[in-house]
Amino acid sequence: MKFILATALAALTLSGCFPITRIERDRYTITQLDSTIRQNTQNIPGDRDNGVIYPSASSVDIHRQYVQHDSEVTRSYPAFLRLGGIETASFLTSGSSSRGTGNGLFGLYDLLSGKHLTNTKTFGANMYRLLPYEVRLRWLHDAPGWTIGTAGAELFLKQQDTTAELAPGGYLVGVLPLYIRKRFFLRDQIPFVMVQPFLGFGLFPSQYLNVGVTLDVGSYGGFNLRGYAGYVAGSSNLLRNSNRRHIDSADYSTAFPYIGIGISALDFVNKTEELFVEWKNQKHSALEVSVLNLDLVRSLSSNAQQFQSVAPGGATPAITGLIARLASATYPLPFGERRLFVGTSLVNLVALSATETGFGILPIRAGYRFNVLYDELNLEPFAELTYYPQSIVHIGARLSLPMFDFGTVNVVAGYARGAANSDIAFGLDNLGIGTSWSAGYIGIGIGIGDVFHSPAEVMR
Amino acid sequence: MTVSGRIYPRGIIPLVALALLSGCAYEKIGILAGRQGYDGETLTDYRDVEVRSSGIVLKPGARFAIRSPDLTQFIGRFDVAILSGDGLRVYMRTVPHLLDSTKGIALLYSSLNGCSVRTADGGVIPVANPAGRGAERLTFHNEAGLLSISIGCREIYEDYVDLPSTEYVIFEALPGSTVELRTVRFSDIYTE
Repeated sequence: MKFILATALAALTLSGCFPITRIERDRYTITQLDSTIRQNTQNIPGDRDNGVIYPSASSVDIHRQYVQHDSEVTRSYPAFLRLGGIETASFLTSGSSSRGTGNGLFGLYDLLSGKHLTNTKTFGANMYRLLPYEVRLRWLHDAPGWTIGTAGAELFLKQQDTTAELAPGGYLVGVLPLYIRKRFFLRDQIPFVMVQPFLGFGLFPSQYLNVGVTLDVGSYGGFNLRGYAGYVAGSSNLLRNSNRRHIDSADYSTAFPYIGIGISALDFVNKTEELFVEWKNQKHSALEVSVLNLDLVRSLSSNAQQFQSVAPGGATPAITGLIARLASATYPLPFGERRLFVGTSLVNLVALSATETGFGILPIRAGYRFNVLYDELNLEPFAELTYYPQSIVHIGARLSLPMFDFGTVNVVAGYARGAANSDIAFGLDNLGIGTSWSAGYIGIGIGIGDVFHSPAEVMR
Repeated sequence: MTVSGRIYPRGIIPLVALALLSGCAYEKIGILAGRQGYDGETLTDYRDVEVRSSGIVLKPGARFAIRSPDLTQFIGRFDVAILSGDGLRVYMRTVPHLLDSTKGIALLYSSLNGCSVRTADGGVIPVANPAGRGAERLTFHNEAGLLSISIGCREIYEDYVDLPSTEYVIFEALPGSTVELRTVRFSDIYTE
């Protein structure tokens, strides 16, 4: 597992090599003052004693006197056809329903649930892909719709037993795998609908071939829904424990057909035509797209317990917990001034204190954006329902101010009520997730990779 | 043609154009002339421009921009030949991005209707002699406000122009015409 993490980290580092923006520059030289003198000196008429063959006496005198400055016009365009954050999928595949990962729909809903070991495994396999990236593949006389791409890392899981551990022959992992895809658009307006046959292979650390087709719907605020059908086969022999290589006779190869459904977040898809539209003129479908929102909060409940123990008699720290949203998008409803919105996040964590903690996958959020100042300082009252694996009803308000290009500063306040869930795995029950709770809170936070668009920009 | 201080006899390939892979960017053509490198870009369908050993051929309606990187003031020399049809048009002091072919300075190099220069204010200055069938050298002296245009040894236009100088010269084959660019040379006015 450490090896997988190390290679994923290396992939993240390498992924910085792939351009996101293409820049065109035109340089202009502007002449403000020009008094250049260009003088042709003519041959002196008449005979001269220069021999039989002599050069012409013609010459040109140029006296340059001007004032100039250069002006450079820069235009920025997207350089990718697809740039993604996280893609996950759950596959129906052959085998017993008692085996498999049991990670639930999209490979997410039961990822941290105790149920994934014991429940009937509807989805026997999963795929997780990090940082997918695609550019135009210009071949076959510039045939349209071809892409070539890679990903920071991807992982195929098909566990052979009911344990939570990865076993030989149960996984394929690739760093910077190579994929060739062909797009057939069924709908060429946002959100796009397209069928994509693909052929891909990974060389390191697993060697595998992945062939199939996807039905893609998106991107809409970075979220995509995908249907998959394909076949993957390969070996993870390089991941064999080198210290036990002489006695490790396990079969590290795997092959299985799959059909399934997946989701991706922070995953942006462009048509080829959009590569020639400047960033500033690109269409937006979301009021807000955010990589991570992190709010440090203080629970107002008298039952709140700190995550870290304090000395007896010590004062309660100002911060008792946090609220984190990973990979969020907020969409305007298509009426009025488009300030009423709905939204979701890939993962939502509400941890007001050690005894007031819950999390969920793809919560449903609704709210209204009040513009306080200059269409930048916004107040957003919201209601949020987290329904699985825990139930949390959450109402609150957020005052946001964009800072720099990709960040926000927030002040938050609200109230949340969480229901007990005893199925949480991996020791999370120690955090009090097994008990119901309710509390108010106040806090401050930041948005990282948090981009706001005004309703006017979204309506454009 | 003099390239980098050496004399290349006419007829020996004076211009080498390479269709660089650069991610298989079909419309990009790298041009090497001596030690100088220029960026060529087809602004219409990439199939409209063909690279041959003798030069770069522009098919009817093709637009082709040549950029001299970081050089906005230059003496540009281009040997062109009309292979069939009428001729070509050359745009200066402009850029390919959002090129408006109806405005700005342009040279019409035509074998049927004669040559003319469209000035920055839209006026047209006709030139008596039409373009010839053989290869002819077009020279553009582009320095500060000065722009002079010569065809062969004959200067046909010289005036003060208040349009900013750019790195580009853009060629456009007239409808029904096929023309060939046989040499390309940009000289820095300060070292010429």
